[in-house]
Amino acid sequence: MVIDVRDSPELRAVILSLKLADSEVRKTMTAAARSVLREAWQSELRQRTLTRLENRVIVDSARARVSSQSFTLTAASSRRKLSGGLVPADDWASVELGAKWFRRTYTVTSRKGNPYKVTKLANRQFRPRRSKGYVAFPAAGKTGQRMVALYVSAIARRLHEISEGK
Amino acid sequence: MGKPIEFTFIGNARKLIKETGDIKEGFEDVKDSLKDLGKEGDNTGDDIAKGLDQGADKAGRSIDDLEDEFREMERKGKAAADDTGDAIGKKIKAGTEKAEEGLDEFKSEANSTAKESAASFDGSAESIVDSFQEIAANAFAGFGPAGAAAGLALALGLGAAITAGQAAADAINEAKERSGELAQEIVEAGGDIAQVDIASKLREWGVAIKDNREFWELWQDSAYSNMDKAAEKAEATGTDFKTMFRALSGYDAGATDRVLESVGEQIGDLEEKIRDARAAGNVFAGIQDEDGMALDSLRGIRRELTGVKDERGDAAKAAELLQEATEEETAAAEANAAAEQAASDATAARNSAISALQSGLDAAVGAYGEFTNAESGATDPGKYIAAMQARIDATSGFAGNVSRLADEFGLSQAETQAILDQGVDFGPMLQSIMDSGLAPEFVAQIQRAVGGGQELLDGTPLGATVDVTAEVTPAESALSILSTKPRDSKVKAKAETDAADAQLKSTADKPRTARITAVADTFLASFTLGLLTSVPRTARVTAVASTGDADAALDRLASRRRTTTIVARVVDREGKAVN
Repeated sequence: MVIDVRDSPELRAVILSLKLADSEVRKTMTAAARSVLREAWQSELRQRTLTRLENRVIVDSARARVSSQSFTLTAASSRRKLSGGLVPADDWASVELGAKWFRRTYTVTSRKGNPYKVTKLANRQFRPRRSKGYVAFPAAGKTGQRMVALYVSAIARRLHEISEGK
Repeated sequence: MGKPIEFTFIGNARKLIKETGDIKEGFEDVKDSLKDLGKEGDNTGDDIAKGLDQGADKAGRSIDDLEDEFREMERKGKAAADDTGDAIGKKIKAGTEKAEEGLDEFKSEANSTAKESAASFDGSAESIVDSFQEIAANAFAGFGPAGAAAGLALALGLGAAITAGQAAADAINEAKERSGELAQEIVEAGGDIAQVDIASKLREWGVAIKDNREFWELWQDSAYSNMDKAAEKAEATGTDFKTMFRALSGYDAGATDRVLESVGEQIGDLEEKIRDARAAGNVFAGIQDEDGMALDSLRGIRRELTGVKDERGDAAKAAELLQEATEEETAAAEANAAAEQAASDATAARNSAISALQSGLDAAVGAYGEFTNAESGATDPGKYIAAMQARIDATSGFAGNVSRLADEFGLSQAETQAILDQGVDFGPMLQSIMDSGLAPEFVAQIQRAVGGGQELLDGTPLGATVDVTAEVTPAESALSILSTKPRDSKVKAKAETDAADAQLKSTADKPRTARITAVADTFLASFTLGLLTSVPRTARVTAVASTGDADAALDRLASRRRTTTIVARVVDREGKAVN
């Protein structure tokens, strides 16, 4: 669900002002929006996390990209392996959407040589499966409007600063 | 390769830009909505305002301030525009002078940046009313920092017409716009209206559509061009088409005057005729009859022609202003460039002087090799440090002498540099020159040597062998040899413990602590050329080497030679570590 910028005078003003501005000025405008959005987006995400795993995988690489025509909020965007080898950009799904828990029994051999059985609850580290997600998806859904508002006000604010000669 | 989580909330910006023909106009239409945004945040206190940490509040306020400022500017601009062209010129001038009075403030970086930005918009933003950018940018200067900011705002499309020049080019007023264009052309033609390509202007104007036929205008057969208009008016006034066309176009002042005169006469005739008819008893004469309608039509034409004539006058005035403003702008830019050049020369000269002096000092620091006994390999830190001190003193004395000489005899930069280039080793000679009172002769020789190469060449007959030994280093010289250039050095002491080994061997059962004390110059730690003239500082450097471990090891391996490296922790007077 994307808002058509033509439907909102505010968004129209923002987009047209970005188009109108000199490239140097435009840079400062998008930079202003980026820092505001990133801060807000990360804090929204952090409020929804429960474990360090969620913070590391989803929130730590959450960013805001602002172009002169739109902006995009990303999460789990890091391509660098975490200490255990997990690449957030590839394997965020279980963390965000949860995973099905299941018991698995398998046979191991003790140090003395006696075989015995072990039962583990697999995927215990993830939340229960829910297709609506837990962190980024609800954050985007609940705060999308606010993010757009922040985007508009950040640009507007910068515009006034510029007009005051800052 | 998986994809990260991504959300995009807004779209179709490309379509919006495509559908908005004139970006600036489109922005003007909706820009107020950004102001409303700030206000809403204030009133409802919703998440937006909270999230912004009163940012929206501030934004809302600043827009209000901005609006007030625009209004004020507009008022000033209008007031100026209401006066005659001369008065506008005076106001621009007075404003500039006023700005010059507060030069200190005016020079502040923020303002000049804003002004630069405003000026740099001239080229890129088509939004600025065409030919008056420069007048506008210049006039802003007269209004100080606020004006410069307003200029930027205008460049962004936020503002309305603000200054006198801007008012003259008011885009809403078609006539003014046209006079602006004409003014631009007059300026481009070097002020000579005869050189403006009137023919093509006339053609353009002739086919310009005056009145589009709208669907409800059933009575109008087609679009109505200036040519049609001229034909109609020519018929109404009995003037020939060509004259009327030129008169209405505003490009032929003579034609305008001629037609105005003839129309005036016709109006006079008609008025007289109607007066006579009324005197004869026809009280309704001139009311809705043929004569009356003709009179109305003629009066309309006269109004129009008068307008054309005024417009023409405006163009001439505007051209004058534009010319003036352009000249001022150019002069300012040139002055700026010269100042920048001077500043960069000064910096280069200072750097050159510093490096000349510093190289001597660096050589002293690097000369530690000379203080090592070639046979025994023993080092003599005391002498090394003392030598450096001597070098610093010499450099300080040399620099002082050079600058005294430069002051006394008003040496040029090249001449000062020529002396500095001789290096610190020249110091004693310079000292004795000055002591012996030979300084004037020395300076005279230096001056001859520095500028002498060309002179000697000039005075030499062709074909002769030229043997010139002249110092013609073109280097720039010192404006100020004082500079603060902190430098850091690493001090690492290494002690040979061979001798200690031998002693330790003889008294191996006694644990002992050796204390090594050295004095080092702090210039190694923090040294500024500015300190050259003041007393050099010293700091005590204490190194403590515990040899207890060495004892034990020696007991076990008494036969092996060993080297102990002692890393000294060097502290300055304040007790801060130096590394």
